[in-house]
Amino acid sequence: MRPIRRHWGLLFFAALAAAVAVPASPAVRHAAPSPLAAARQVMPAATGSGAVTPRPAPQGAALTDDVCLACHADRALKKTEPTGRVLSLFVDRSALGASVHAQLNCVDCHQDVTALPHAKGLEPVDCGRCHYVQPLAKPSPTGVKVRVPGVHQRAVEAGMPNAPVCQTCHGAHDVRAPSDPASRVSRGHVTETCGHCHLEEFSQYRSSVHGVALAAGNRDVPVCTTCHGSHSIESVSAATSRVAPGAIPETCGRCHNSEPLARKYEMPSERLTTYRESYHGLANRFGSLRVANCASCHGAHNIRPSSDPQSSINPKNLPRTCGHCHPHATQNFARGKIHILPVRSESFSLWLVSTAFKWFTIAILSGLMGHIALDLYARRRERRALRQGGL
Amino acid sequence: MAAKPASRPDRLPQSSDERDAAEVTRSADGRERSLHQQVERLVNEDRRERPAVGAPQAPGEAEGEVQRFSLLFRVQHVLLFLSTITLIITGLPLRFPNWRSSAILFAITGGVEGSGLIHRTAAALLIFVSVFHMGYIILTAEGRRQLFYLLPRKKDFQDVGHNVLYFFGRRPARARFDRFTYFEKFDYWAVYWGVVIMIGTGLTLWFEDQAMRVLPKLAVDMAKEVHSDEALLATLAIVVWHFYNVHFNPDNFPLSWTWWTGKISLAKMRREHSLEYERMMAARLARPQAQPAGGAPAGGDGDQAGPGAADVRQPAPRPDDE
Repeated sequence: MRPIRRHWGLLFFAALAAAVAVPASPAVRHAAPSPLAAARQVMPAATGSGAVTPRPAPQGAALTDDVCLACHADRALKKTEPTGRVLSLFVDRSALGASVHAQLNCVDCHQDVTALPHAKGLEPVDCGRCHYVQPLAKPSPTGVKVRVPGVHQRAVEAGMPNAPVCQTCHGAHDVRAPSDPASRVSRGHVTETCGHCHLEEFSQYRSSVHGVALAAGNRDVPVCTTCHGSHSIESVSAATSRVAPGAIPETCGRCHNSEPLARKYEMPSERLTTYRESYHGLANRFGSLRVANCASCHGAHNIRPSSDPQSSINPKNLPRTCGHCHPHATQNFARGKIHILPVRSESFSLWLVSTAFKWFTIAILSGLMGHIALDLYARRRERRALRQGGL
Repeated sequence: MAAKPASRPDRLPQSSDERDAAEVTRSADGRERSLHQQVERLVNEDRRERPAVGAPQAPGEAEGEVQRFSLLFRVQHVLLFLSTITLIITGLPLRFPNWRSSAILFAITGGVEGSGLIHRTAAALLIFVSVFHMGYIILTAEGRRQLFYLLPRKKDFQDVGHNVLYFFGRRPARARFDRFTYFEKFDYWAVYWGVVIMIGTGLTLWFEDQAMRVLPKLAVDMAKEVHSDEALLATLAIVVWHFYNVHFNPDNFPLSWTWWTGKISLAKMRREHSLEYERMMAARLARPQAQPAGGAPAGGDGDQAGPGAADVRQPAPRPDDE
């Protein structure tokens, strides 16, 4: 008894440390779960039930992760929704520990859990409490404030079932930083994440020249977010979209008009320039929506090199591709470079014609202007003679 | 007897022309002048636009004026320049898309599609004028006469040389011209060159799908290049050369109205088309004074003085008319 009374402070702190240390034990590093498996744990779509109001911090150590995981670490834990859909309520502790939110408590996100047992239907977690993007636009029903309401955001607001929220793409309990190769939104995995809903585009992309290179480990090829953006993804028909007809040339041109990349991959380097100087490019630049842009001929997701027999720009397929807009297109459409400039490196004959005309114009105009200059000079002399003539 | 006039600032005569010109004669106002000085004096007199008193007029002409171009002639020219200017305004922005004026034009006309519609309408008008003109110069007497005067001759090339020498002070006066000067003939025939190229390549581009049934893509790319380059050349030639000759020239500045009224003052005709003037006046003076019967206007050119006159075929200007 006497040692306990004497060292009660030390004992108290030791007990406290023990209580705190146990839940903070280092997580066991398992292999990251496959994104497909993790997707099944995604929260259901937002029901648009109103903004989540900010609340004070969770009370004390009563609601630690251990307490939550006492039930939710059970793999068999699930709930059945009124629609018949079955949701697993299993939370993988190791995945949680490996995520970027490992330092947070469950109740830091699940703010509506204040006491146990908690209510049957919890609110969807509002990531915007911490992750909102300035400047603030109008708050949406889910409380997530984004800079520009994109097409996904609008789907959520409209109450579409299966409309993606943050957790759809980033995961719920296994959120990793995009730079982490295991993250669902890393370069290596984001196409699968998007492909969850956009199945056709995903399968087209996978066999495209970009997809094949990506699978081989290429770090330069575009993935979905490169062209479409990540959070303010606009519909293709919106004027502000990066893949709107007027913007596609610049989006593709970021890589295909770049000298360093052209040298690295032995690609032609002036694709955007040749397009912009062509009639298609000029019409596109000045607002025509009908005229061909990069995707019209090359495709959007199924871009293949011209040597590929399935490619839309294979010479055998060109009449069909061009024929979408030019009726009865024949093989003549393929006889001659498509991207062309009157410079020597691109087309000798065109350069010849252009240069010949340039010199012809210069010669003729020099002659004509010389004649005019001499005429004026002679008139000046005549005027002087007139004055000196004394008449 | 060649005597050196006291006030003459020039150097000694070197060529036969100048030796002749140095012959001094007593001119009309009593002063001794070399022929050189007399010619210069005449030229300068003309520049002061003294009216040609007593010159015979054709019916319908005002005093001191001659009807140079008929209505049909002028209408063709107006249609030609209206279509050409429209084509230039709607076409140049495609060649210079980075200019601010290009963006403004496309905004006004409704983008490339709108300006393209206007461009093709004007092109159709140009094609019509060209075909009409072919009919005019082949099928009408008036047209055939104009074509006759417009044909290039050896004298035109000699006139170029003469004028250039005059500009450098080695001839006493400018070349003397008949109905059309060499620069007017150049303006006329250059249009043939331009129109053939522009309509040919333009139709290839307009009906591209049909053209590419027989032509490879490279040919159509060439057509686009040629169309663009020739357009620039023609525009510059018109704005610089043609406009100088008819408007910006110190004699006519700021604007010549002959294209609209068809009339030219007698003094100007005497100065600029002296050979035609001489021939016309000789023809008018030789004929009895014809009263206007049947009201035939003095169309085409000044040779026809009225319905009573025989339709004389004018001989080519004599080569020694210098």
